[in-house]
Amino acid sequence: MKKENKENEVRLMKGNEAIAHAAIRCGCDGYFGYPITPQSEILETLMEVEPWHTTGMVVLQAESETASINMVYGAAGCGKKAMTSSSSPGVSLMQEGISYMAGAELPCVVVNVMRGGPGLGTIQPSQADYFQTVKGGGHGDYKVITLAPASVQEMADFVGKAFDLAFKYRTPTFILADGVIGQMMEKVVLPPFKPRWTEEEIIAVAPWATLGKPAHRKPNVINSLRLEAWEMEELNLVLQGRYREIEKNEVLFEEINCEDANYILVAFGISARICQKTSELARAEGLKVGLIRPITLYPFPTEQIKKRAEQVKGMLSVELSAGQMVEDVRLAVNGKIPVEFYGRMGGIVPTPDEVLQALKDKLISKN
Amino acid sequence: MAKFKGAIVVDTEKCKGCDLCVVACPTTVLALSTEANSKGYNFSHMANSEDCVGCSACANVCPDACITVYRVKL
Amino acid sequence: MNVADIINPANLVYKKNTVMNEVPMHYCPGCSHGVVHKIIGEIIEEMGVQEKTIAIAPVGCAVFAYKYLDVDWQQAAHGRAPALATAIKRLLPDRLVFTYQGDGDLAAIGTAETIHACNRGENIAIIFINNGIYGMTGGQMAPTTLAGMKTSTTPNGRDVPLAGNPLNITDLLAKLDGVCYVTRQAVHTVAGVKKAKRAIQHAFENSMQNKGTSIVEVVSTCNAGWKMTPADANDWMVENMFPVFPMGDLKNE
Repeated sequence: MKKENKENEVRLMKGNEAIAHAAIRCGCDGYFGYPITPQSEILETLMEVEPWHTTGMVVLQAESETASINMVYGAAGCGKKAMTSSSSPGVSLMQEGISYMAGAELPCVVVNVMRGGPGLGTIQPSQADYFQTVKGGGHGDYKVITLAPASVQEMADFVGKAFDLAFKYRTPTFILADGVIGQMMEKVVLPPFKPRWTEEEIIAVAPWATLGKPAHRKPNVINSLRLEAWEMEELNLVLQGRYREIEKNEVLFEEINCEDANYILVAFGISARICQKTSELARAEGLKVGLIRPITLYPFPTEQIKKRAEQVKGMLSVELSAGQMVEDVRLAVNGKIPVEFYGRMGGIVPTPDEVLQALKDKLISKN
Repeated sequence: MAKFKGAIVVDTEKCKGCDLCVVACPTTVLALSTEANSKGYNFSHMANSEDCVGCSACANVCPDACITVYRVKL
Repeated sequence: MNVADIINPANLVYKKNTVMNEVPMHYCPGCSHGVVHKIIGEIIEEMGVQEKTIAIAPVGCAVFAYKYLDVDWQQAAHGRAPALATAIKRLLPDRLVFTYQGDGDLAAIGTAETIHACNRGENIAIIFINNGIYGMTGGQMAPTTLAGMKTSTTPNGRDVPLAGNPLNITDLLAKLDGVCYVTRQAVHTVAGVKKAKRAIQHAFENSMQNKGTSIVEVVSTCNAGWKMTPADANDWMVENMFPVFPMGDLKNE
């Protein structure tokens, strides 16, 4: 068993390793996962640290992603802080379970360290699961809160945050990272240790949890089945009400160099890191280019993008995909200014210069 | 050998008239009623209560747990 | 002594257990599910473990099991009950955790989850209702449908070269080291009900004692799916199902 580090100590590690350490530290009760590149370090780190000896956290390598997400369902149904992680093809396999958890109003954290697709695709980084994640990858009307980290520090910070949001709204919550953020090493300060919830604490936070029925209460049933149409609509209305609350309360974004900008790049994850450099390069040439980095992809920073559309001449959505988030940017801007897209696919990560050239070609030269 | 006398009470509203208790009864006490309950099932009843020995065979095989059994030693 | 005199609380010898509630069950008249639900309720009551029980309902006819037995339930996606049970029992090792699954749930769509939970020796009990047909969806072929047996997707009888052989999954599970108890029972007679009850109780005790995985297969009837009366279905089961799925213990360690 490796010794855990002291509070506030700066350490160097991969994004995936940060997820694992943060999970232990935020009082996670159970991790269930199946190996897949580029995120296997999460399970590997947990197995090396052996948190079951310290916090009592259960870690299990399941037989598939299908089993993993359903183990998460079982644990979450008991009011436990449960999580899994995978990469794109594996997350596709989890969609059934995620839809069931949305329907059964179960909190959990799912980490997707995206790789290129479709199909078995590539192990190289990608952001092409944006649609799958924020538009609902499984069946039925549901949404999942989606946090998009852009640094190893955010990988560490978002685990606890994701659990808080998941329990606040009783919904699956995603950390949507890309292969670069998962694999790259950066300095990170891990969050302080929080003890796991006791059963009394679980009952207080999650009175719906199936911990065994005491004589004084009715049975708790974790379930997404509503055979009567009116009951099914009722559940949907509850969920939709919750999504409106999430949209009102939980939007997170970062703005860099936007105050005086004439053009704005919109990007998340590793693309935002590239675009930050693009903004600096542009400003060195006298071009006032800013960056909006959505931190929550759902809920999307629609209002802020709409506000900035009053000020700038155009926006460029930069993604490791064929253009997915750009649709939400366009919806936010609603035709007020041109919104263009630049992206690379299949695991290719563009350079800051390449993005600047695209901005010039697609927007600046047209004005 | 001790002799027993028994009687059963059928929750006639829950009985679905599946007939399994009738088949299971070793003393041919039970039969399905010609009357139907509110769901339209011909519920089970003691057609020949004299022969009931309170053995609980009917209750054991009843899929709807709608039979209660009483027994006295004579 | 007349009937009115006998019907007296002092003479009570059999009544419905208290874990089973008053909700009328949706099962077809004569369905084996009801009997198995009833004996599970009796066992939980007799073992005094109602407060410690977490049960997992399948997809299939027994999807609504949570309506009838007053314990905490989780309803699983089709076939995934053993995965849920795995996590629940690992996080709450002092609880009684059991799954209740049909043949489609356990032996078709959930085969991987079943085999791996058993192979890991999860300390859970699996109640496996095998009636050789998909009841809920209208009588289609199950993995355990007998050769030649007619279902709505094998209207001329299960043709083995086309549809494969009936899967004897319980035999397969008995070979796994993680499994401590495997038995095959039926609830078509009083003796059968009593033996099945002892078997399920043993499986529940194994879960509480963390001895490994227990599987109780209950060879059952689906008289509606088989298109016969409940009594005829029992006879048909004895004559046709028992030779392929013979009664008795396969493993008891």
